Order: sequence, then C-alpha cells, then structure tokens
Amino acid sequence: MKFNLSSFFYLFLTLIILFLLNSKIGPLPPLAKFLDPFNGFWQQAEPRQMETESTLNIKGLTGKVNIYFDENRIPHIEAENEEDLYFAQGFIVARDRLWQLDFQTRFAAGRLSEVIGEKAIDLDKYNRRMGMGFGARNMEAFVKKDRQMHKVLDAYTAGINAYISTLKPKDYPIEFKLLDYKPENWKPINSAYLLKLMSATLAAASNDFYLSNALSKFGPEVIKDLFPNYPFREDPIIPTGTTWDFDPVPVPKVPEDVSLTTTGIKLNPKEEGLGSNNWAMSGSKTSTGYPLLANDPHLEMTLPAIWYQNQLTAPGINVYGVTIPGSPGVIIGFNKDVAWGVTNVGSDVLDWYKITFKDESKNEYLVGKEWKKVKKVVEVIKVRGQATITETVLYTHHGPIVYVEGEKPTAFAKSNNIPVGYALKWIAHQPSNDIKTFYKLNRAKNHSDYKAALLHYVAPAQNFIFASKENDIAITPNGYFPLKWKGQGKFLLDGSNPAHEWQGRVPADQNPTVKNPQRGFVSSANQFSADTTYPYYLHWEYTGYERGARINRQLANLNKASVDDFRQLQNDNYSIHAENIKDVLIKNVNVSALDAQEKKALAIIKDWTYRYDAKEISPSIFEWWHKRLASGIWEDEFSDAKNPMVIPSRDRTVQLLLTDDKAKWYDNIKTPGIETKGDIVTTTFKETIDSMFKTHGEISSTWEWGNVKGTNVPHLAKISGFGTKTLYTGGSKTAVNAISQTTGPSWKMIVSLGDKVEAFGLFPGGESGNPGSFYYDNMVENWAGGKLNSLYFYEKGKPDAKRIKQTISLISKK
Amino acid sequence: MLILIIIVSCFIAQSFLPWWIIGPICLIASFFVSSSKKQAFWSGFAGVFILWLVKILSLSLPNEHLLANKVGQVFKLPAADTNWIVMIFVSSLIGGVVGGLSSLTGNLLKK
Repeated sequence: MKFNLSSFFYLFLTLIILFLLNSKIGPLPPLAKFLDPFNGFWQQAEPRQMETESTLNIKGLTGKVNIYFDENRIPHIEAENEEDLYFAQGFIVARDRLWQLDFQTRFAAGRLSEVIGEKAIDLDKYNRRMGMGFGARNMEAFVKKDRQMHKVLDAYTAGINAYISTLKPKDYPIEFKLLDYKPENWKPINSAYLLKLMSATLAAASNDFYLSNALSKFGPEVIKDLFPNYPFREDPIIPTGTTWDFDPVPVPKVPEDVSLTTTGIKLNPKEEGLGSNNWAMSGSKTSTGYPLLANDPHLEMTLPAIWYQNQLTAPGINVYGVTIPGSPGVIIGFNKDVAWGVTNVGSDVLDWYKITFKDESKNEYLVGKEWKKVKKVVEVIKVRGQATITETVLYTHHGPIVYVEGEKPTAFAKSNNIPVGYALKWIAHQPSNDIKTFYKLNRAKNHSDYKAALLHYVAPAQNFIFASKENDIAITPNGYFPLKWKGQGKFLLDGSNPAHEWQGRVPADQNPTVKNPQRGFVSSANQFSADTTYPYYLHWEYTGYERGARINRQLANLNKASVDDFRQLQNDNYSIHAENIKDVLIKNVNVSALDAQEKKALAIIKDWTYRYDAKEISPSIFEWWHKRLASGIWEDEFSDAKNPMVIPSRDRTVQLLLTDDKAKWYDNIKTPGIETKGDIVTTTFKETIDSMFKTHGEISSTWEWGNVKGTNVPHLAKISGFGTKTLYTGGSKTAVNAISQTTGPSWKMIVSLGDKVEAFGLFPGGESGNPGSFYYDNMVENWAGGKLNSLYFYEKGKPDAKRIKQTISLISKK
Repeated sequence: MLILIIIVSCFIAQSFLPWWIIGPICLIASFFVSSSKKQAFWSGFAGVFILWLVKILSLSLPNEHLLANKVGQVFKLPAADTNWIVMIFVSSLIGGVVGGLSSLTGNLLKK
C-alpha cells in the first residue's frame, strides 16, 4: 500500500462522490441511486410485450386464484372463495398502484411531511385539524364490529401486504425512487382514510362563514332575495309530482336567533364543485327492451388514474366495475342482473359551531347551562429533514375546533373559509360502514337488494342510480342526512345552544327515492334532490341545474334508445346556461362602443348554437364574458377583505339578467356615476375581448375552445413528464360533457342489461400506475375522442382466449 | 484484462447489492491488476460505462424508451422523443466516472 497526498486525495474524493450521488439533494433524487440500471428507475421501464403466463406462490391464500388480463390489462380475478378474492384484489391493486395507495393515504392522514418535508406541513396540519384521523378511526372501529366486513378488509389488507413482501428495492414504483423512501405495510385503517378522502373531496365545501358575513352586511331581506332556499330554475332529481309514501318524523322548529358572524379572513372565491352525471332508461324506451344505464363521475383527473377497473368472481359474486385503489370490491359497476352508479349529492353535512370557553385555559366550554370538558388531542407530525412537530387540537362533542385564536395559517388557501373559534361538525367523522353498501350492491339481483344495500351508506352522500334485468329503474339521493330545521347550517351556528345541534337523522328509508317513474327514465347531475314538497331540509344550494335539464330534455326525446345514443349524450357539449343568457347579453351590448376586433367577436358569438365544441371560438368568449359579468355585478358589493363573502349563485345571476333591467346591483359602487345593465354587459365584453387578444393574438385558431381550455391530466404529485400532453377536447361545466381543464369524467360507463349484459367504458388513464408502462395512460386517447371501450365481462367457465392476453395464477405457499 | 474483471464482478455484485458497490470493486480490482494510472482510470470508466449502457439498453429498448423520455422531463428537459439519448448517456457517464475514479484511486494506493 502506498499512502501519500495524492492517493489520499483521490480516496477522499471518491468517497465524497459516492456519498453525494447516494443522497437526495433538494428536489432531485439521489442521482446514481436513481440512474443505476440495476436498482434505479430503469427497472420500471416495462416491455411493451406482456408475459403470457406465470405462477406465483403466495403466503396467505387458502385456494388457487386465476387472474386473467384482457387487452387493456384489466384483471379478471377468479377465486375459489370470498377471502381469496379480496386478498387477490388487494394483491393486484398493490401491484398496479402501490405508490398511489401510499401517497393518498399519507395525504388523508396528514403524513406527507414525513416524505416530502416542510412544504407539506400546512397541508398535514390542516388534514389533522379537520379530524381526518378522528373520522378514519371511528370508521375502522365501526366496520370491525361487522364480522363479514372485518374479514373482507383483513383479506384485502393481507393481499396488499403479501405483494409488498415480494418486493426488493429495485421493484419499488418510480415515485418512491424519485422521493427516496420505502413503501410501508398497509393497515385496514388506510382503507378508511381513502373513503374519508372522498368525503373531503366531495362533501367538505362550506359557504356558511362567507354567507354569515354577507348576512351581517346586507341584512336578512337582501340575503333571502339573493340566496334563496330553492333556485329560480330547477329540474330536481326526483321528478316534480312524485308522491312521498312515508310518514315523516317531526322536523325541528327554527330557533329565534340563528345567525352568528365573525371577521378577519381573506376572500377566496370558490370554484364550482365537482359534479357527475348518471341516468337510466326503462326497457320501454330502449331498442333492446331492457334497461340502459350510464354514469360518469367528474373529479379532479390524475395519473395514476383515480379509478381501477376489475372483474371479481367467486362463489356468490361475479361483478365488474371500478374501485378506488384501497377500497375492496366495486364502487360503480354491474353484474349479470343489475347495474348501478353514483353522482355526488351536495347536501349540507358540514356545520360550524361557535364555542364559548369558560376561561383562557380552554379546558371547558358551554352547552346549555353546563360546562363540558374539552378533550385535547396531540397530533405528532414527523417532518423529513427537520424536527418533529406537535399540534394540540381541541375536541368538543360537536367535533374538532379546527382553529382557535392564533392557530390559523395566513397563507394557506384551504383554510380560508374556516371560522376561528368554531367546532366542526362533519359527516366524515361519523362511524360508518359504507363498504357494506358496495359489498351488497356487488351481489344484488333486484330492486329490493338495492334498497337494502343503500341503508348502510353514510358519506359522502351519493345519488345511487339503479337498473335491473327485471326492468326496474330507480334513483335515490342517499346517505346520512342530518335532521334539520329549514335553513339550519346555512349560517354559522351557536355551539352553546343545544337547539342548534343536529337533531338525529332523516330516517334512511325516507331518503328521497323514485322507482320506475312515468317518464321512463331517471337521472341526476348534482342538482336539487327533490322539489319543495319533500318534507325535510337537505340544503339551500346545489350545483346548477343545467346539465340535469339537458340530460332530461334529451332522454325525454329518445325512443328505442341505444348504447350509442347514450354515448353521444355523455359527449354532449350543449350548454343550457349559454342558451339562457347569450341572447340577453348580446341584446344589451352597446355596439357603438365597440372597436373592429370586438365587433368581429360579437358577430361570431351571435351565430353560436350554445355548444362548447373544441373547434368553436364562441365558447372561449362566452366563458370569460359571463364570469367577468358575474364578478362585475356582485364583487363591488360583496368583496370586502375584512368580511369575506360568497357572491350569489349562477342561477340568481341568470334570474337577475332575465327578469330585472333596473337592479341596483348593476351599478359599480366604486365609481362616481351610475352604471346600467347595458354598461356592465358592454364593459365586460370589451374586457373579455381585450384580454383574449392579449393572450391569444388576433382571432384565429388560437381562440378555439379546445386550445384555450387546455385540458390535460396531470400526475397525482404534479411530477412533470408524468402527466398527459394537452388534449384538444370540447366540454364545459355547464354541459353534460363536463371536461374542463383538469376536471372531468373520471370514469365513463354504459351498461345494456338483458339476457347477456353488454357494457362499455373507460377512464382518462390506464390500469397501471407506472409511468414506464404502456398501460399507464393507454385509454386517454379514446377518452379524449369521446369513444368507449367494450368491457369484457365473462360469466361462466373459461374466459375467451381472444380477449385474454396474460394469466397469472396465485398459488398458496405452504 | 482489468476492464473484463470490472465488468464481470460489477455485474454479479450489482445484481444483489446497491449501486455504490461498483466503487469498492473497481478500487480493489485496480489495486491488484492495474498497470498505470491512465490504464486504471480508463478501464474503470469504460468497464462501468459499458456495463451500465448495455444493461440500460436491455431495459429501455423493449420499453421503446417510453420511460426514459418522460424522466428526461423530470430533469427539466423539454418534452421530446429524444430525451432517452440524454438519459442513457448521462446515466452511463455517471457510472463511468465513479468506476474510473475508484479504479484510479486503487492504482494510486498500489505500491
């Protein structure tokens, strides 16, 4: 050995380089570790060609499981018993979506900082403070009381973990390698977290705080006028005229003082909620004489895809459809006898209660005349590369006090609508056994099975649509609806007044429902569940009626309907909102105030037939124009940094434009003069065209809606390169085809029941969660083109060799 | 000779050990077998470079470079069907530099 300065220097340099190339620095992965072909990301480069047959020995199975993969690599799982079935489903979902399972659970549980460091701290704190863990633990404990569901969840968990135990570091999904961490074992509570995440996505919107502020500024008369409890135009899910064949339980009386306000939060304009469509048609109106059913849930689209398709077969069950990775069974799908689907119900299941503490120690709070004890829960948040953080959250019998004075972050958008010093009462905290509903629907044979299945469901409330081979169709806005006085929870509530509490629930069998209505079809698109004859108050505000009305109009006109008619309706870009107001807007434009460019734009939109087609220029103009107009009408009055408020709905704005030429709201109170309806319509049109011109240049193909909208499906963690390219598509939130920039139909399905069930569907993604797989985004092209794939549902015996490209057999390891 | 030893032993060791095993392997192999600083460096460099290049091609060609093109964008390359060329070259180069440096160190430690 020779030791001198130069050999030492090189030894030292080599060690430093090895160390640096093995360390995660900033946003980059450990370079050599990541780029190494033997253990790094190259291992995730999947060949296009699949192996055709393989056998795996797995511990934990009782019998043999065959998994057949079709041309879209959708698994058809065939097991000898139910436990093996859910075990295999867990196994295969983990194989395709392991990182998604990990990431989404961490998100819901407030554990992202553990792997991505300090930038996730605010988000983690928020999810902890909202009581996501509280809800998930309540759910897990409740499910475990049900022996059957407990077994299902345990088998599913064992399957995921059996897959994880087969992995070596080189097999970890690429995102683990990029972020440099390891998968951890699955726990049953993780499934609860994922279902709670659906409530957080679909049933956590709240305008109570903003509306309370508006109430204190404008007084009850104006609020009643601008924020009515039932809209100007509506086409409710349960058709008007349906009779309620139950005896309602008594509804609580409205207490005398019902509104509270507070101050000190910034305004964050709320985007229209995520929506969905579903409809089913009776055999009397279809070409086959059997029902047809369609469903397309609209969500924030991501890759890996939100949904996972599979067929599950074992004695007593043969079902096809989609599930959320992490949740056993099928959530939307069909079997040989029935088909079902869901859309969101925007019922009010989240309320805020003002807490009166006894003293500064915040150990006790007032309820009626009693002081109750506050429970203090310590949340421990581990942060990568930093010291662990602890947060103490105060719990009342209502739920967590999300923020007390001094705890609310100033620059975190998600918390803007949360009032300080209020306890959160939220349906997601309720113990529930929602997976039982799906367990039963997966095995349902007829309408009474459907009814029985729905009784278990709590949240997030959904419009469960149904069709059966026996030629029944039905729809039920379903979930746990708190029993409320009319308008309860429209504003902030008083936690010290027992009259303000939820008074139990609307009996589950009295949820609005309709079976085989006269018109021959049922449908929903997130609008009001029922008209004002329904004896219970569910909410004052739902998503606009436009999509629902268009669906109903088209379905009413269809006879001898086919799958292709339904497909065309799913792709329908017609906007009833545009139909409602385009003409009145154009009529009010003062043409003499326009320049040449603006006149040209006006001429284009004049001829528009209300379709948000990709190649049209008018939707680009209309979209920004009507939004600017709504802001222009309301924001001068309703924008107040100290008292954030919500502006009146689209429906109320339409009513104003159609029925009122002289309203004071048209005037901009921030200018000395008095503006008229014509002034504001003209100004906002000019502003729209000017801003379009600045962004997109002269009127040309760059103004086309497909280019302006810029639809794309990003990666779940927004990793660049792992999302799709920009997709040229039509659609709008007010059209049946609700594709916007990154939200849209996250799964499209059409089922034709009959002696042999036929089904079609796809989602904007692929079965694999691996960006290095050819099955990561292989359905996107057909999805963007408005096409559907034929779904392969095999009933008995061996599957068709022509459809099956790969078979994996799982055999019990002794 | 040295280059062959490095390719074969790195290939075997990397099948079950982390990537950094190439460092000690090149160092030790060069300590016993190298004849000059230049020969040591280039044998280590070329040995690992070739091993990694061939291994990468065996994975990325059947994948039609789908993943390599995407990962290029993670490293801020523009969206392009040619990113794979950069990714393959950079990956092999990093392996090569580590191999070369370790091998050179092995030679310098030699009597």
